[in-house]
Amino acid sequence: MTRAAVHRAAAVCAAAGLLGASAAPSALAAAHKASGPPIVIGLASPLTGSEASYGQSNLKAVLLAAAQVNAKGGVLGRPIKILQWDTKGDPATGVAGANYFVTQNVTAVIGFFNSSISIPASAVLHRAGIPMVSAASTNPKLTEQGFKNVFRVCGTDNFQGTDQALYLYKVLHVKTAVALNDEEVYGEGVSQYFQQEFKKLGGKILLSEGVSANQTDFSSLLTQIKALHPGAVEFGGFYTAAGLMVKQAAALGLKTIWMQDDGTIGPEYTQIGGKATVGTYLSSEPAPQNLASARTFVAQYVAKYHSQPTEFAGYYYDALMLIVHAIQVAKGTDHAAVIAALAKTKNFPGVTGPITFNAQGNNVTATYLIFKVLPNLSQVPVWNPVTGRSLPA
Amino acid sequence: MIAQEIVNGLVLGAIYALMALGYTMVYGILRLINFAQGSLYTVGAYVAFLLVPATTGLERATPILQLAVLLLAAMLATGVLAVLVDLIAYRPLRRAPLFASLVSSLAMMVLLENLVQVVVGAQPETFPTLISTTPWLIGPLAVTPAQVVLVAVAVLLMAGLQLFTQRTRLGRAMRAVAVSHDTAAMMGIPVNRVIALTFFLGGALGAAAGILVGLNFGTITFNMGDLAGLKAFTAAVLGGIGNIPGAVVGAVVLGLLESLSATVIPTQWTDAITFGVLILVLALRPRGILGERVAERV
Repeated sequence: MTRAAVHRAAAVCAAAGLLGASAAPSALAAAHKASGPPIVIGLASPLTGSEASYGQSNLKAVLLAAAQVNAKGGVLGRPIKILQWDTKGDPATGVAGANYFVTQNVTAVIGFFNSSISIPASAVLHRAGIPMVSAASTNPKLTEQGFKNVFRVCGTDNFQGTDQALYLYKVLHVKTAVALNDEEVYGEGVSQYFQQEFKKLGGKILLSEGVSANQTDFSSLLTQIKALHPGAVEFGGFYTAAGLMVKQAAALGLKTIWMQDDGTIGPEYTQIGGKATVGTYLSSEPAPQNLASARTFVAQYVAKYHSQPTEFAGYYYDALMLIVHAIQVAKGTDHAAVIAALAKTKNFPGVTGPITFNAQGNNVTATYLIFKVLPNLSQVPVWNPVTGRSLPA
Repeated sequence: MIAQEIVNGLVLGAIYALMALGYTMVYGILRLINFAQGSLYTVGAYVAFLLVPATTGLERATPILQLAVLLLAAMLATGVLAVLVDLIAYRPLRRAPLFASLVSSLAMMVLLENLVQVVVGAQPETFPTLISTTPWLIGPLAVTPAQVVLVAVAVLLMAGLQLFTQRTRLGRAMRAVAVSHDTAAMMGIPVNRVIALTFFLGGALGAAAGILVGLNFGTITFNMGDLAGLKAFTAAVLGGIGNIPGAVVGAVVLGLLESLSATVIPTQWTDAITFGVLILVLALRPRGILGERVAERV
């Protein structure tokens, strides 16, 4: 696609987005006299492609938040407008979106879902000085670049790997483990942090190995693992490989404790792995449904869209509310003032819990939970690493 | 542990063998590497998957009967599709340079794979467990009923193919066309029909491999044919492309090599080993293990 074509496509997307964002709340907003030029917030998410179910749900959460703000008279008397960009889950398309937001001079950007897109896109927004709030990209590198404009409301991969190690070592008293990963940035990251913490606690890593992407037969590797008799096997990766691995391990008679990452939350993992996934553990950020603080949000979301929000939707809702709050504090849409206001965020009452940013822009109170797969194949939280307490299963 | 890896290797080898036969039969007759073979394997798995609800009544009688019906239906459908692929993509290019057919086969591979994605979506599908994957534990060895069925079906199909090519008139016609199209035509053999038959058999065997993979691993995806296709192609070259017993030997050797190498080399190198073998064979012994015809550069 040529650059002109990309821009044309973007304009069409944006127009559709504006219609979607403004159609529902316009009547209400008018009643509360939200007038003046709209404040435009960019939202970049994979609206099509293999992660579309997440992308669509994230968009709905942001539109819900915008509608609620506009129904109460907007912010500083002006309505919020959401400018959408479909990243298709593709880094090049995603970065084109960051450039588009710069040309449109949006007040702030929520994006870009995939860490592989958020990291390069954050550099574009950094050069333009536009504030960016990430609500799903968990790779630590995003906030390690020294960009003052970048904030993250969700957790990071190092929290997750650390929590996995804590649970296995401290709660289940596992002393030896095999660490596997799918050789992708995300899975390898989680597994590395797991190994670091597990060794620090005094545990022993018997084997650390990568598997190639698209591999479907893991029986050779699992045969090797079976001979090592590990207390647990940790895997950093996604549901297809995770499900197949657990299933093939059962077929080989390999009995061990499995610890997966949040690439396995949702029904796909248990569908692929079947009965073999029962009793396996995984670490994941809490879905809105797992959080008492998100009950109202879930109810409002279900009432409006007649479907359940996916796991990151709460963070997207919070991201918009946080930006609105920062605009109010800054008393305007000046980029530098909004960034300064965001940086001062402390105990902001988000639906995913209180949000407090550290100097890097990370939300220090973001939590992960350890989940267990029950015999009915549902995934329920069993442990909260922050409180160190078991949860009623 | 070595014994377990041999079992793992034989299971892999049986799958590669069924697919490699498709490559080698078409190569033997047309000197064409039919890259669409990997996509036919995917189509076969999905045809069976989509027919599962229609055949659940049979499951109550015996799961083997249901599996047999699914296998036959998907092999038939995929075989017909393979004949169509030949008709559309290769027959018009029969007198053109081979390179044209090769590009055409790559196009068919992409087209078929994307068609599957459009029809069923990009998400992985769960293939029902027709045959149990709960292992029988024999000492340190674990073997599942699904693996036994997989190898048995593969061996039956391969034996059937061998009987067909060696003992029947049509099989003899196929071998004659492989030697020379023109001479075979002069002897009154309908060359194009024999080529269509070859594609049918290749597609049907590829479909069987796809179903057996679904049965054994429980998951199928629209792009499952990519890597499997390349590996089966490697197996065919290893055994001597164009040579039917060679494809089987090459596939079993490759399967064992992949699983046994895991005992000494980390498994993330498995694919590198496979394609390293391909390069070595092409460089040092292009005839392959049992090959009669020198693999041509394409």
